[in-house]
Parts: sequence; structure tokens; C-alpha cells
Amino acid sequence: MMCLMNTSRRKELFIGVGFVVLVVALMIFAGVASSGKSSTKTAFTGGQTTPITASDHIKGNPSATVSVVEYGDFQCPACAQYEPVIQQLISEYGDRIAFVFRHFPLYQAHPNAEIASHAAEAAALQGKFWEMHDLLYAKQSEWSTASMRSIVRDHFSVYASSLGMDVAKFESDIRSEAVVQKVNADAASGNAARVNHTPTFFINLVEIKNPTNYDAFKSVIDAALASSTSAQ
Amino acid sequence: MTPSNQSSTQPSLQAPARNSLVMRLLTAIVGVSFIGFVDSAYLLADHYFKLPLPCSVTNGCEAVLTSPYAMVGPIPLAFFGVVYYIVVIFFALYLYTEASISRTQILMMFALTLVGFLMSIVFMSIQTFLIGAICMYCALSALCTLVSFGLGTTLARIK
Repeated sequence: MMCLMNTSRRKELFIGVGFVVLVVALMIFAGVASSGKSSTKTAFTGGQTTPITASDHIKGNPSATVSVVEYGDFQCPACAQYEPVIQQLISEYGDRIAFVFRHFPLYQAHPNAEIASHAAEAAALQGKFWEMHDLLYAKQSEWSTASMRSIVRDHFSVYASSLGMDVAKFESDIRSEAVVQKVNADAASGNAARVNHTPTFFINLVEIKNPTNYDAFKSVIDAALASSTSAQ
Repeated sequence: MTPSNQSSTQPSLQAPARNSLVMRLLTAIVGVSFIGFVDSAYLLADHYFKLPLPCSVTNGCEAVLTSPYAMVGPIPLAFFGVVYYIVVIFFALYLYTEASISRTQILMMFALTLVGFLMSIVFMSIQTFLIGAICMYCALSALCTLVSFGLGTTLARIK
């Protein structure tokens, strides 16, 4: 004999299940949110990169005691998603760190990544590297999907124009040997440092595991800053 | 169509039809949808709290969850998944506790599972044909909607 539930039993069941659903959701959210806060001792992977030079693109203080080097690919969605975190780090740490961007286009996965790096370097020749860097990430979905190089270049010319650059010079620079050499040199230094994914970050030239959130990134930098002040 | 042993068409399924099979099907829908709910909630939490896995020389990218298809405007698809599964769970529970379940209510339950199943076909097609990568958590959600659609179909076929 099936026993039919009365209204109060039903209400209890609904509240009970609602409670379980809420608790499970909160546990999942809390679990994922805290998963990135691992100890900084395990953050380093042991890989090393070359020292910062005058040819690097640097934000912050070039002579800061702590450096953050990113090997990035403008067509990589993960790099684009790290951008707001990097911006936040740069604004929070100011001249206490030197942030360096080096090109590491993943030629096979991202057919337009190399030419995007060339665009950033062509912009650098007019003093607009970081402006172009930011714009390329912001508009990634716009130019990434273009299947022809000429269309990709057209997008970049529009960006150059919007940044107030000399577009004719930009269009010739983007194909210039100097620009190609600079990107190749960055990629070669990445290969030498055994970079195999983007973004790859180095703190004081030593590779770290990619932090999974802002707080995790911050704790690695804080530890580096603390050890640099205690060493003085 | 199999010949029906019903003597008359009833507007609602009265106590005899509110049988253990219907109850078991509804319980199964709640169970499967709960798995889907946990899965979607994980993806949603991942979206808000974790930075994506890097693009790799050998493995490409964590393409699915970082693709523009993963969002509807500012809202991640996982959010719709979470809402969908909560609606299914509570509607199935509502029917479970009803004294009599009308044909319309059964069909509404079926329609809910059908919508979930059709959306999953769309999402899996986008992953396969447009992105060229499958995300395991998304596939698990698609499996949940497939099973729940099977259960919903069985439910709708009960006379």
C-alpha cells in the first residue's frame, strides 16, 4: 500500500533536498576556491631561463629585486585568461617587481600566433609594445579565427591605427627581418629553458608551476620578495 | 502501438497508476540529475575560481572551457546546467510527492528531459565539430541528460 505524503511531509522533503543541494554546491565551490592555495615550496619546477636584457619588454622596475618572466602566445586562450591576473599583479606590486614578456608562439596549435608576435614587435618599434600586447589579448577572438594571413594583417593594421601608430611603417615593420629575429630569439630562449606550454612563468628566472588563481600567484611573489629582502 | 488494456481514457493517473515503476523512474531521474548538478557546479566553480590549464606544445589547449562557446554573453554555460538540473530535481520530487500525477505533468517531465538531451547534442556537436576537443566534465553532463531522457521516455510511455 503506497502511503501518500501530506503537505508537511512534502515541505520537509523539499527543504531537506534543497539544503543538501545547497551544501553540496557550497562544498564544491569552497573546495575549488581553496585548491590553488598550495604552499610555495612546491611551486618551483627547476627550469631556468636567461637573464633579463635591454632587448626585453619590461613593465614595472627593470632593476627590481624580483622578476616575473612570462613566455606567452597571443593566440593562446589560457594566456588571455591570465592577462587580468598579470595586470592586477603589476598594479599591486608596482616598481617592486619587473614583469617581462617574451614571445613563445605555439606554431602548431596556433597558426596566427607568430604573426601576432610580429605585430607586437612592429608596434614596439613605435613605442607601443604594451598597448598592442593588451589589444591583441583583448581582441583575441576577433583575429584568432581568421584563416588567411592577409585578413589577420588587416585586423592588426586596424589596431595599429586605433593606437595612433604610423600604419604604413607598421605594415612594413611587421614583415621586417629585425622583428622576425626578435620573436625567433625569444622563442629560442624559451626552447633553451624547456618551455613547452603557454603561459610559462619564471620568478627570478626560475620556472614555477602555473598558479591556479591570483592569491596563489601573489604568495609565490611574496615569498620571493621576502627572501630577497632577508638576503640583503 | 501496443493494445491498451485501459477501459477508458483518464485525464489523470489515479492511485493505481501511481505505481512503483513511476516512483522508481522519478527517483532515478533525481539521482542522475544530482550527478549532473554536482558536475555542472564543479565546472561553474572552476570557471570563477581557477585559471585555465596552459596551452601546450603537445596537447593543444584546454580548448573547450576557454572557447567563446562556453559562454552565453557574460554567463558561463555551466550556470545554465546548474539551474537546469535543480529544476529537474525539484520537478521530479514534486511529482514524486503528488497524490495523483496527470498526463500533462508526465509529459512536462518528459519535455524537460528532452530539452536537456537536445541541448547536450548541440553542445557535444559544437565540441566535436567546431572546437575539435571534448571536455570530460561536459561529456559526463551529456551522459546524465541522455540517461535522464531515457528515463523520461520510459515514464511517458507508461499507460
